[in-house]
Amino acid sequence: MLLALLYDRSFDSVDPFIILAFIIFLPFAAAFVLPIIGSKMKEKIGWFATLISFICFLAVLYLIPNVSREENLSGIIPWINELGINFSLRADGLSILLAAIVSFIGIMIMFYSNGYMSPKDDLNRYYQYLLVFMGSMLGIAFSDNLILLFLFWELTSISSFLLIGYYRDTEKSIYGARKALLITAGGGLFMLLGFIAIGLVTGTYEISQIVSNPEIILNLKSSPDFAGILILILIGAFAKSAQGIFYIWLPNAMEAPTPVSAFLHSATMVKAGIFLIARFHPVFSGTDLWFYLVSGTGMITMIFAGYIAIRQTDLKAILAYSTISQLAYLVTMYGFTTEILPTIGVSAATFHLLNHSTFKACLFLIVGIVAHELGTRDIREMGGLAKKMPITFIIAIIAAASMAGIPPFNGYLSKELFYESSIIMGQQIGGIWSAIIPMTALAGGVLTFMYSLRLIHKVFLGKPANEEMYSKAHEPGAIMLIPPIILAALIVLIGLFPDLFIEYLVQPAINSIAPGSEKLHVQLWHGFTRPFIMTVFTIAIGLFFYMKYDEIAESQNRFCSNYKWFSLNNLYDKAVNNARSESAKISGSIQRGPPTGYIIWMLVFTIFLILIPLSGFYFSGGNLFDPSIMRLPASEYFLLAIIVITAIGAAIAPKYIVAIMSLSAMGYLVALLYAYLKAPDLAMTQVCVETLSTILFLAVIMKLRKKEAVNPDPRSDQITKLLIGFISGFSFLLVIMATGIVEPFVPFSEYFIENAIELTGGRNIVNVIVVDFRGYDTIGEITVLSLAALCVYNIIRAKGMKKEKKKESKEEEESTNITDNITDIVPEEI
Amino acid sequence: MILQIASTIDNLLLSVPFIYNNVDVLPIAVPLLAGALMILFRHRIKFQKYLNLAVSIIILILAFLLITKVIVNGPSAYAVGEFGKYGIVLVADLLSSSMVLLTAFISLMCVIYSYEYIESESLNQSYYALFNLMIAGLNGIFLTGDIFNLYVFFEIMFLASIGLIFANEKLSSTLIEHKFEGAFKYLVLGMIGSTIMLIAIITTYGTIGSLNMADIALKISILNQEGRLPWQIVAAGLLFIIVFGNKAALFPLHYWLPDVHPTAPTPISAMLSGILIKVGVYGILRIVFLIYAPASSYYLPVLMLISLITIVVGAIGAIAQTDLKRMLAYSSISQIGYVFLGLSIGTAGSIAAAFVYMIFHAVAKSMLFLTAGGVIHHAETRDMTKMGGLIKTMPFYSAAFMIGAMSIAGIPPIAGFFSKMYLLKTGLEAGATIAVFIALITAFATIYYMFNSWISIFWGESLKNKRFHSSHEMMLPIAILCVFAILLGILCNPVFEAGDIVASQIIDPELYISTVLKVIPR
Repeated sequence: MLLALLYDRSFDSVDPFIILAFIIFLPFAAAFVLPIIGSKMKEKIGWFATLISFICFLAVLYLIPNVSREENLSGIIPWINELGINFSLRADGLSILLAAIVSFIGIMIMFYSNGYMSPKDDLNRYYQYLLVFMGSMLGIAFSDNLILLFLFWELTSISSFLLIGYYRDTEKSIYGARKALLITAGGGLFMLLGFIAIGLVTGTYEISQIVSNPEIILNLKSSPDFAGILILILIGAFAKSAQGIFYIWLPNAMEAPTPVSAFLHSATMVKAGIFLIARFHPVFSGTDLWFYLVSGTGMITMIFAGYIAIRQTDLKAILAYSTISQLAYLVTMYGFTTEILPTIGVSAATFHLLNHSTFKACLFLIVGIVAHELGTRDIREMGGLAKKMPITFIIAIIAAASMAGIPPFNGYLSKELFYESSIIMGQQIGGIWSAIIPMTALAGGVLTFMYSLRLIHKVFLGKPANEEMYSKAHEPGAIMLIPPIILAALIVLIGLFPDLFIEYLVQPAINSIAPGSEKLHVQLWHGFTRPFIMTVFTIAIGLFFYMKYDEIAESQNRFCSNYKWFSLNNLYDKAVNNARSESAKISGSIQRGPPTGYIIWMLVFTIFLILIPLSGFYFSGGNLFDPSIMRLPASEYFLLAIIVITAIGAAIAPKYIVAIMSLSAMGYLVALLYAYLKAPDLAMTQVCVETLSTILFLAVIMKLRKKEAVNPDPRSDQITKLLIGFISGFSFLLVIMATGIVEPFVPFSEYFIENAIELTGGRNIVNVIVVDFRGYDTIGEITVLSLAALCVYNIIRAKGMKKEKKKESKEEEESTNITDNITDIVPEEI
Repeated sequence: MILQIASTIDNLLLSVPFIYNNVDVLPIAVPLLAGALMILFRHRIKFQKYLNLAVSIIILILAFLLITKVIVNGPSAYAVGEFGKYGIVLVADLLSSSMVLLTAFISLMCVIYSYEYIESESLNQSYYALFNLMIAGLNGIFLTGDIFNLYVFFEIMFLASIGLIFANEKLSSTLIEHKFEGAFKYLVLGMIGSTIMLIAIITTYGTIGSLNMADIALKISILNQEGRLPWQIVAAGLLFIIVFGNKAALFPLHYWLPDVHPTAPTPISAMLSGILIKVGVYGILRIVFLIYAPASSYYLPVLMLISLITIVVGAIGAIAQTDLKRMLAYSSISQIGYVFLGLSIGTAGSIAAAFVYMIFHAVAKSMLFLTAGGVIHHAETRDMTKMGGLIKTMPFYSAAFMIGAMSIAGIPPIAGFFSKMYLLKTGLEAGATIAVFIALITAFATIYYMFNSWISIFWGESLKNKRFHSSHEMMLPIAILCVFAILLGILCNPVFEAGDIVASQIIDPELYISTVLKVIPR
């Protein structure tokens, strides 16, 4: 009725863009002010959050008529030009479907949480995270820009991380949170690269432009990067939707409070990957690669996860694996396309997307109730609850039957469609596939049937396994019952009257993925068609294998305990747990501690850098330097030879004192060279500096390092160092020897000589340069000198950690020496 | 809009001709003078504190005025003395004035933080003086247009930072031996770097006969056009990679950093990781890309190779660490590798991306260091495995660390994401697919080590039950930097535009050269 009323009006006054922006930002704004409101409302703050999601839902409803008329609801605000990011929003059928699911389930979850969460919990934080998540999810739904979508995508990863780790003291929550973040956010990174690559090929990030422009699509499909782009994007989507090898995070994410699991990890967030696949369906589908990657991954995941679900004893774990398997249904169906029939799977998948959200959220809420009442989630501790909790029991039956694909519930309808599409797809490919694909679908259905039956059987029927728990159990309060009741009602309603939902929600979504596709017809009874026969088989085979349920689970357990290494979780744990120690090994081998090695590396790199142009130039036959500069008087050669000898002496001298003496001899010889080259003032300075530094040097060495002062280095080390020092010194020499003013350029010194007297009135050219032409440098040099003094002053006054602490940490250092710790100082270089 | 605001400010400034005319040199002169004053007033505690705060704010205002002047009027050249290119010319273009502004901003935050964090006795002795001299050194480096003058200010910055490493913290968690060891390595490797810098300068002067950067650049490009570029010029250009790579901590010149950054007192670590390693980036852009541009076919591949190794080595080191500050230090190595990757790709887009990356990293990393300082004060250890559950006792710090971690890990909508994406995008555009892929894999590792650290500090069983009461002096800078980390992301257009302009001026230095050479000697 409401919808019919809304149908008649259109946007006269309000810009649809503003409504879209409002839907997205309302939850964020609410999360922002929530602590303030929370201080007033105390434990009733959940109702505020419920209200917010209700408003969002209403706003989404408001848009439905326009969307089903395929009006263009979009708007754009340019944001960052360089990145091609625009704040562009767009509502089409698919986004409205997702947004409706998100906001509606949001209402249910926040409502339910009022009963589920205890007032002692940190409620503000809880609802803040939930609202941020909801806003991000709505953002994903409405983003029309790939990068904007990515932005919200990663925000959901972060809020999911925070929510899984809500119980932040417990090891398991932390483990689950970290795993979820690494896989979903990490997968997101690859997806980002895929998006960027799409932008490079197509020249835009606007989804609607890419998806609707056949030219662009053709461009993409013929691009050599097509496979790479597809794989990168699928990594992100699969990581988010826990498909393929990325499934491992979802079971551990169940450490979150149950409403969170219902909301994020079954009904909405994990649908984001599916949503993305659906979004890109028009772009990528129709290629073989799409089918193999998407449907292939989907079918394998579907069987595998369904099979593993059988072994689980934790209620939430069963549901987690079931979610993985059900999502795989969706993935499989979206992968079903051919050039001729581009949309065989799309309508089925889109319908199932809606249905799965209803029944899986409902089941999670039921599990929440059961776990809340019994204080355990272990299925082996339960039984016979039907008598104690009849309402819960009925709801559970409805939801589980829907999941198992039993008429007249909504899950049955979409599962029939799934079977049908699998048959068609098999026929399209032909050959052995026409049998394999439907059989796989059937197997998935059988597994689903089995664990759905298991849920009802073990929890509600039979005899109570734990009398003590059983006696305490009773029907929960209305707050926790109403949301599952509403969801169950919806399951029945969609099952009985599918047309209403298809008309307003599903069909527009299908149209937005595959424009102009046939109208979806769904009926509960459509004769003895092949899908119906498959359903009958599903139930029959499922019942048969259910007899052997325990045996199957047992065999799985045996396998798991025998082949512990054969698991992705094991691989993940190994990678994460050993990451630190393994990288410490690598890092430690690079960062060894003593500075000698570092200096050697630095010099070797320097030599390498000089060698590049040197060899290039040498082999192309040029002169490395002007040979005429070698023409020196013999006396200079003699002096230089002595200098070289003293330098070698400094390097290989067996004792520090000898080395220092040799070094200072070199200094004095350099002073002599200056004097010889007619620079007496420089020579004088050099003599002063040399004298002073030698005295200081000797004093410090004698005082500090008596032992090392006698014998500094082993012989072999010395030779390596000598060699490297020699080569680097020689390379520097070559570089400097090559200089010589290139012809047309007049050096600055000419200007100084010409203008010194006129500009400065000074005759001594060095003085004039120091105090006049480059006086600014001299200020700097003076500063450097005073700084050196200040540094020494500071070093003398420095103190580190307090004494007693120092002792403690010293001991620890010795015991846990895994990092590339600062090792003991080895001041050979002093 | 920004241009309008800038020109309004610029017009206002015109009414104060002294400042307007000397705004290029004041960011150097003010801290230099303040550094000297601080020694004189070292016994007047309160006075010194407020004086230093005033000086820092003044420098920030000056930096702001300088950048508005540059935005309105384009690059400006300022001759110290009247000798034109023969003397020393200060040049403020958008690159240098942005660096000056960034330095002024981060250093103001660090100064405010220091009041509470650094031991008051140490504050009264030499801390302020050294800090101001370091700022003078930094601004001198960024503003100078003379290659030898660059060397002088390099030394000022270098020595001042060594002195500051030894400043005492109130609650130190660092052994004095470690400080000595870190400083020793810093000193030794830095000295070798300085020597190599001298050799490169001498070689260039000996070949070209000029010390003015614009002049050398022009002459080298003339030589190149005539097809007789001497090999020693290429060698000198490559030697500058050693010099600046050493400052920026590129592999295999990074060895000192993991020992120095953690042992320095926290506000200094924030300066070192936030600003000082960026000097290397600036130097590569200004010296290697401007002067030795014709040798680009030599240095770009080298830079790309070492920046990729740096990215990976830094990330591996960061994963390995249990020491909080050491983890952050390694992360800085890895992140600076990203900046250099952008430079080494060498297109206008990727250089702009590197510029943006550098700025966003400076904000996030200095904030993380400051936050880590608070955490270390509270936990009384630097070992992350001994922390846990601190989110209950220090929620503010946990939020700040989270924002910083998201920024470094490149998770939207924090600033770091936009720069990382820009880098990946421009990298792909330039066809550097393999490099981008390595960067992407390491970005995944970054998420791992950042969030792993966050989890082990803030989640888990709580070891401390008393709420951490931190003073406003410590929280204010962190809060401001947090706000900037978020807002710079959402409102990042001006930074991106600046990046574009900087990159285009690097690619085509015509404007820079002509501005400098217009200054006519008497």
